Amino acid sequence: MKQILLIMTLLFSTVSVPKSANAQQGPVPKLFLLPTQSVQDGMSSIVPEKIGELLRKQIAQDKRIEIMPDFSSVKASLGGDSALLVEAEQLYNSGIGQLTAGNDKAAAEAFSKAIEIMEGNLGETNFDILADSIGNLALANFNAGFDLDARKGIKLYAHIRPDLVLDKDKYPKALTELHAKEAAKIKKAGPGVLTITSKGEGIIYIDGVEKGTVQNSTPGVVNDIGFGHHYLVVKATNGDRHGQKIKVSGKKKKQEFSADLKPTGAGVKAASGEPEFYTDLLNTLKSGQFDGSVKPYFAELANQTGADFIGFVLMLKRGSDYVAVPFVYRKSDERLVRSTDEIFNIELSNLVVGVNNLSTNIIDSSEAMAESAIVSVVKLAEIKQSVVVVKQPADDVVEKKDDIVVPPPEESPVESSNTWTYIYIAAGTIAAIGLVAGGIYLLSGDSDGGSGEGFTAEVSW
Amino acid sequence: MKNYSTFIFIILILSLFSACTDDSTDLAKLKVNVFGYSDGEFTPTLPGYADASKISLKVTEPATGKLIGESVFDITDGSGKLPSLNFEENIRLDFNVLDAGDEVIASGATPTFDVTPGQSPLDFRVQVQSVGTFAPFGSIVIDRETNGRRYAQSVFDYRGESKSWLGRMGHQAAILSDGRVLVVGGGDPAVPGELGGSTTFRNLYDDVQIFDPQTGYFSNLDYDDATSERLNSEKLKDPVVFHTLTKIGEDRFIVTGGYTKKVDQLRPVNTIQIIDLNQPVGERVKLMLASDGSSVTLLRGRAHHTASFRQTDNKLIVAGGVGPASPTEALKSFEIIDVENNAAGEDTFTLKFARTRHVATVLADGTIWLSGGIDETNILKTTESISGDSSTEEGKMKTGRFGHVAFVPTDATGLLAVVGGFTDLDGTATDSYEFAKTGRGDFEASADWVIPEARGGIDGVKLDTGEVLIFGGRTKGENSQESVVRLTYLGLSNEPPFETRKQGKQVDTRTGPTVTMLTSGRVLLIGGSAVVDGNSVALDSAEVFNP
Repeated sequence: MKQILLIMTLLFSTVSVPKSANAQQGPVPKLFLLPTQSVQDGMSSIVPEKIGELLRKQIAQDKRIEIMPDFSSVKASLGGDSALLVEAEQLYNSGIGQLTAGNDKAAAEAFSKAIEIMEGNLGETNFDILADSIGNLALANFNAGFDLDARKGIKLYAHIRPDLVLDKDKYPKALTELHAKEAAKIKKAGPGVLTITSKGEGIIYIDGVEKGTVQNSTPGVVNDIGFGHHYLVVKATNGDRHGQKIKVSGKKKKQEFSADLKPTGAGVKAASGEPEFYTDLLNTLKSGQFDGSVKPYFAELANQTGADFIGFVLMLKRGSDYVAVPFVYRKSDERLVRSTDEIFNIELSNLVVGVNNLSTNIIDSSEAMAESAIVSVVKLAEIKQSVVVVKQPADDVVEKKDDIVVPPPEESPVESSNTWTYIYIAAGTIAAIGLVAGGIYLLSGDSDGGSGEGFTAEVSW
Repeated sequence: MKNYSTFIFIILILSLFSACTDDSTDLAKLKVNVFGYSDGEFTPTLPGYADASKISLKVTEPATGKLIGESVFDITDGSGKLPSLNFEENIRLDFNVLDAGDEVIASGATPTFDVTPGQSPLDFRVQVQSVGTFAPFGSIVIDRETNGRRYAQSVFDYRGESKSWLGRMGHQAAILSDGRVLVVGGGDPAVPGELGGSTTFRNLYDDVQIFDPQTGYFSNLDYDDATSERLNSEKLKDPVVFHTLTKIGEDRFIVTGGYTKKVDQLRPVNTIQIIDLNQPVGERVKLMLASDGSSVTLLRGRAHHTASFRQTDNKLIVAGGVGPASPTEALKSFEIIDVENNAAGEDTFTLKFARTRHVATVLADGTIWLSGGIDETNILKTTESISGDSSTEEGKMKTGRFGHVAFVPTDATGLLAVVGGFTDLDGTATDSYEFAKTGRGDFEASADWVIPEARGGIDGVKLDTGEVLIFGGRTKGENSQESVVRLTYLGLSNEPPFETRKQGKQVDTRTGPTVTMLTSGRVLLIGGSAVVDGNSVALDSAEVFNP
């Protein structure tokens, strides 16, 4: 008996290898879970808070997805910056490393990506890093042999940092001379006169340097910027931002720019300590009625936190039951889907089971993001009226079938007859000898244009 | 066993027979006679170059640089022989006159040719001229006074021609697979026109002529040697000028648009014609016909437009130009002609900018880059690229220009260089050049990126070495440039990126000739306007440059 048990134990331990040991693990997507809310405060807040708390714990146990901390915790871990800008800084550091190691193409790629992120988030970008990235990108391109890109890059560097003298130990002569030449041209041409207007009050920055203020009735005037490409940022007192790349003509020419101030993650914090856009989003969802206009908020939230998915649950009362309606937003394609509703009885006696199901539904939905579940207009009122679902046009789905490999047919065996084989070999050998003999005879012949091996060129002048 | 022995014996006999066969039918010879041009006249033999010491004969495969055979002779030998050269295709014989230091001071070359076993002997006349000089292209004519043979400058084929003069500008030329040159249409201007408007023409031509560098003769495709009469089928439907001629296959070309004269006015036409020299006589010049037999035309009549063949999908992209409304109406459209299926589009596509007299450059990936040009009154700095059926705005040039050249200086980087061109409608030209890449923003320029002088209305060819030769051109208040500018690309990290030098002086300083790279490595100029004895004349002759 003992032996049987031992064998069975051995067998079991061999068979029951944990999935994780064999399965290939890819990166686990990150889910940011918004607080669970009741639609239009239709129930006591304790119910959605409780369900939300349990839901968070349940999702955390599922290894298919990584649930992120709440908003304040995420921001704190990023040092107050958005995840995107943190990524930009990481790319910048990586670029420096690659450049030092002589991996110029990799360095150029890293700096390019960093610049792209920073130019997309000018309102919050660190301009010293942006400017340094531009200069280093020009250097990396030069080293990698991309002359034209290096020239353009160093000229842009001169536009935004005309007073800078490039380090001759770091930059080759071609680039230092070009930078100096461009800076001299800028100075010689003289600055332009820029007038900046906006709705609301704000501080004007150009290339990261404070240049004055602007108010509703009083435009800001900047008259010390030379020709070329520059970065204009206006930061409002309420935290709204405007950022854009501008082309300045210089030479005392007048130009006007209008700042379109928008809320960002750096907006005035609500009482909760969270930025306005975040609280605005929560309030909108809580109304139970929203459409595609919430997507920019989701996108901003995903950028701020670094999340791949944003999940949220809205709850409403139906008769004596509570209905939890879950949604999932995917950052990569801005798709918003509705998952399967879960019903909780008034006593919440099915709380645990219900939360388990809700967790599974949300994670399953994030994996599938099925087209049939896409929503773009939501009106959560009475359940009987149903959610108005307007489907997005279906994406083309191309099913790729594995190629069926057709093995080559087996060669059929060939009968061999020794007698004929000998005859063929003999005949072939004799023919070959004959041809070689003939060839030797040909080669030894007269080669004066008449040997048949080539031709003769005769030229007279 | 007896049967097997008989079989073996037969094999032996056959082998020996093949070795002993009389090979006189495999005799292949290349005979080359040299004539020259020096000090303003042709010479029936090599001119007497003062420093000449030796003659170098070289047979090479120009496309690959492969050397087939070479030998050096003393100049006093008068003749030389290169024996036992391998049978090859697309080869050329170069005749070089060397000085005592083995520097080439004069040269000539045959067009490329094939030599195969059993071929009849080949005969070439090679024109020798000093390196870096222009010379009239020579052909043998019968002197009417002496009935003797002499060399004269090659001119168009006048046989069966009712017109007394065939000098022209606004024509087009293209190289054929056998090294001959196809010349199509053009016109004889009465008054040189304003740059932005249209020239008045005395005559427009509908002829298709072929120039043979082996003989120096032009032949009108429509002339029947057997009957000494015109066939009246091997010519364009309408005489045209400022049309396009684009290669779409081996010895197959497409002609689109152009101005023709109707009721004494120049009007752009929408005709599409195919010149296919692979077809039998009488079928070689035809309108493009759809499968149902109807003629395929452009959706808009155009002149001063471009037509570029996109090999990636066998489509012809016809872009911009001036339309029927007025000589200054620049068109903001392009059309796609399906050359494989003989079909035009059902609608035009939109360019980012209306343009005419622009330059179209076909990149290695099939993208067509349009640069500069004019629209109504502006000289354009803008450029755009056509890929598929859409146009994308590309970088702006620092200097707006038309009548410039645009080319890719090296194959690897996909860089586009634009050189020279007119900068206004008064004829002011620029000496600047600029560079850009698709999708990489505006053009780059620098104060010292210039050619030796400002030139507009220029044309260029690329040598096998990668160098580019720029011909002709002028600027306001100055005569047309008689020299060639040779551009050698050194790379963008060099200052300046092009090494430039001037060479030669045209025999007749031509404005608006066609410039064609011959397989001999020489450059052929045909037609164009020149000032002769104080008069502006459209030339009917050919001139050659030895780079």
